[in-house]
Amino acid sequence: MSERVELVPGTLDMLILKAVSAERLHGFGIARWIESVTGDRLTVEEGALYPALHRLEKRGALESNWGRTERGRRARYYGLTAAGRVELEQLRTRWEGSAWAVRQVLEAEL
Amino acid sequence: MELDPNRRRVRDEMRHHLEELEAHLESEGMSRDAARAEAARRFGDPDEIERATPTSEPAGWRASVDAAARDFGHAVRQMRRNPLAAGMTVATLAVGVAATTVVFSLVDAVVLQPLPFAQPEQLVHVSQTSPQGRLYSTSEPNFVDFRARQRSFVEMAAIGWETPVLTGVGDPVSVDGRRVSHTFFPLLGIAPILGRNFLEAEDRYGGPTAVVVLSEGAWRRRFGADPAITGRSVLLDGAPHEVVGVVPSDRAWPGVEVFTPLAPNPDVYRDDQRLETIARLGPGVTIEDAREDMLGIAAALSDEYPESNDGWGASVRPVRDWLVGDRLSRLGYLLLGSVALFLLMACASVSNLLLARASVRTQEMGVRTALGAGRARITAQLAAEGLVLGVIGGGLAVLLAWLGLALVQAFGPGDIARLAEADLDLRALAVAGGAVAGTVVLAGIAPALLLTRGASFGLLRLGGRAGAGGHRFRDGLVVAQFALAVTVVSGAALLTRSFVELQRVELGFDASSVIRFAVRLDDRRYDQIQRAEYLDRLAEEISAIPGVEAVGGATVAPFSSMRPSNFVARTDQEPDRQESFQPVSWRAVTPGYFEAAGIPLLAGRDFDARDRMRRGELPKNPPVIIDRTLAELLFPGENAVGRLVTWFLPGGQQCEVIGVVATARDEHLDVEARPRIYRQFTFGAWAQPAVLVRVAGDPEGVIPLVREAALAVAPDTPAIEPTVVSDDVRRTVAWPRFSMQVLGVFGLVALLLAAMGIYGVTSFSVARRRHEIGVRIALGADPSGVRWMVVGRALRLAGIGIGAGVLAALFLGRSLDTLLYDVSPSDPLTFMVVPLVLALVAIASTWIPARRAVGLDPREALTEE
Repeated sequence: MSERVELVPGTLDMLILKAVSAERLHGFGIARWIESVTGDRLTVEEGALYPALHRLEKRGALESNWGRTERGRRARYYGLTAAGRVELEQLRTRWEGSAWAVRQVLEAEL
Repeated sequence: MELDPNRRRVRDEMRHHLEELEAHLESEGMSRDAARAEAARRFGDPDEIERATPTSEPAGWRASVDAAARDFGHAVRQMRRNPLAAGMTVATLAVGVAATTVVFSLVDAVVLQPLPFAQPEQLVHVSQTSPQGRLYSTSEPNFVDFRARQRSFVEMAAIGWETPVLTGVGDPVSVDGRRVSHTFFPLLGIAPILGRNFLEAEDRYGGPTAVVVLSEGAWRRRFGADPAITGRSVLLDGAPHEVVGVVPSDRAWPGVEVFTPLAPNPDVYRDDQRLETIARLGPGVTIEDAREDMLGIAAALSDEYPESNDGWGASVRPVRDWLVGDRLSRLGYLLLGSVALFLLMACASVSNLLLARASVRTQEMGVRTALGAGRARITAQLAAEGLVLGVIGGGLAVLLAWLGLALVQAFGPGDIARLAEADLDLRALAVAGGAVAGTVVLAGIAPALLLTRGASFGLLRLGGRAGAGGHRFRDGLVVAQFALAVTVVSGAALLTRSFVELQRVELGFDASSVIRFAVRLDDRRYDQIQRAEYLDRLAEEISAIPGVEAVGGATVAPFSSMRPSNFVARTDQEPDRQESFQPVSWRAVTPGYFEAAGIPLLAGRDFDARDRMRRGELPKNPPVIIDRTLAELLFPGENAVGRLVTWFLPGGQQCEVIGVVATARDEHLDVEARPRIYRQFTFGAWAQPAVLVRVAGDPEGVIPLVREAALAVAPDTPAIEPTVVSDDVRRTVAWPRFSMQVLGVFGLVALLLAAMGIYGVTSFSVARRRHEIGVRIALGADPSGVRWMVVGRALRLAGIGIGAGVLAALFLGRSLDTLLYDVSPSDPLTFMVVPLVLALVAIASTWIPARRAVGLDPREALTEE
């Protein structure tokens, strides 16, 4: 198994929003998607995932409904709202801005 | 316990997640048991997750009640955490609402309330107007003619004043009474509760007029509410009168106990104008129509009786104007206006206080929003806080209003009719309470709307520095507070100045050592000469009392509501129309009156025994004494003594001026004295002359002895209402004093509120700019520069407010004009001092926050963020 990375604090909301931006997913699906696109290096703690989902839904960035999984189980599916899409863009811009800044500092010639 | 729907949903979701995780691990090759254990390990404690999940919005009424209870609990905790701010808010609320309620209740009782008559809007007061255009009462023959000829009214009635002595019911006592037409009670819509009204025959001169109608109050107080009172005989001025009825008249005519028939004598002098006339307009008749009608009759009478009615007109006005009086109405509206401004000021202060609290709590709001508290939740919470403040303030306000009203009734202007009837006005309480409650809730939720709009992240990031919009609004409130404070304080200052001027008025006589009382010498038992003889005996008896220096009699007492008026001209320049005569005030006085009143004789001599009218003898040139004002008007630069003046109208009686006395201001305190002419007592004593007693020591102590002396002279002629004249003077300024006190209190509280407002805003601004000020100080800014930066900003706000307030006060001041004595409504002193005081208040209240700013440790301020 490859080396694990820590979730950068404050980025979970952005990752969740990104995860559901293409298709509706349930909680486990979101966690799995994030793990798979990072080659299992980034694990989302369930203890953080669900409060975050509910917070985002309450804020109006996500909406959800009950649905059936492929295996016929009942599960809660989350999707992105218009407000959520705007928020995702804002978060992404901000993240990219600060990531750029951090890189500039680290790569600066001394 | 029932699970919150949100939590139950999380539980379902997590169960599904665990199953998926187990399946996933199994698919990666784990055994079923190992997969289950691993999943459980990775998932952690489900309860913990559950707790971290926000609960859902409550649904249903029970949940709402739960939420409301939580909000109110939170509100109470908030108040406990900041008791000073909460206390100030509650106090401001309570004082604002209570003041509004008390003032409205009083003004309503005294000025606004509908008169206790049927269709009072149809009732009018009819006056005669002098050739100079002033309003006068009417005489008995004129009233008879007006009533017989009029075509505008359903009915007319006349009212004469009298205060007969009632004997046989306890001690002899003078009771307040009215002689009224038989049409009087039906016209007003007052129906007897016992017996009947006067008959037309009883209202005819020479008819069976020895009947009396009692007021309900007198019937209860003096006759024990005797149900068999009708038919009983009572003695009025020594003559038996049969009680024919009892009327509920006390609300309309407080204090009046007996009514007797007017029975107008058509043959008495037409110029003996002592009757007030009221009338009810006929259907579709306007006041203007009625005035035309009355003017026509007055013109006809002027032609028919030129020796008395030449040039006299008539005037008709709503009966309220007569009963309430123009000045009292104006004062009432002034008080209402001031209290409205005061209420506005309280509202502004309350919103300022609440917004200040809200700004301090911006960060808390931000955190709550980020944690998922919805806008509705936060709004509800702030509204709940406002409501708690409002309810406590409202409760206090009711208590305060009740206390205030009791205080005013105990110590306020006691002679104002209907003041004692004032009751806490629930409408006023509701309106004032509603206005303030609205302010509280709006001021409570406004920040919530501002704070929760859009980005909650921004709030978190900006912390306490957020809310620029609310900040601007609070600046506006401070400007408004200062403007209102200037307006209220200016009004108070103007009234105070006017009152001080009133206190300084030179009366021209000595009020503090003079007792006045009245004696009832009715027409049936006394003629003018007998009255003079009675007063001689009374003066002799009273002069024997130790400490009494002088005794004198006069037609009416100083500051009486009766103000005898007439007209004179100098005989050698007698005009041929009465309208060119000089209107004067007159009194008939005994020798000794001037000494008793303390009015100095300036030239000539006082009346003496020579001047008294003798029975059966018509004097050629009766002696008169004029005051300095009249002397200067009629005989400018000449000696008035020995000259002749013509009385009342062209060709009238010629009187010789035997003396000139100083001008006495004994009718109104706040109006220049009318020119005065004094006749000898026997030429104009009325049925109830006044007696003045000048005392060397304490006048109060002499009053009981004076009562005894009066009873010793004639057991059925008590001394009526002996009073020190300075108390009368005080009573004449009761309303100016009261309005000055009320506005004074408003002014002081307004100053305090303005000070609190600007202190709050400045403190907040310093706290908000800690960082910036820290940088300035770190960069070496001059401390006094920093101080003036803070104070200057506050002064700018105060300055705008003061400027606006001065303009408003100057504008509103014009309505004060008639209420001010010897002070201009744009009095320069007031409008220099008041803004200055407000500016000083602004500087003083911003000094502490400014010092705090200068004292900032830049290191602390800069590292704090």
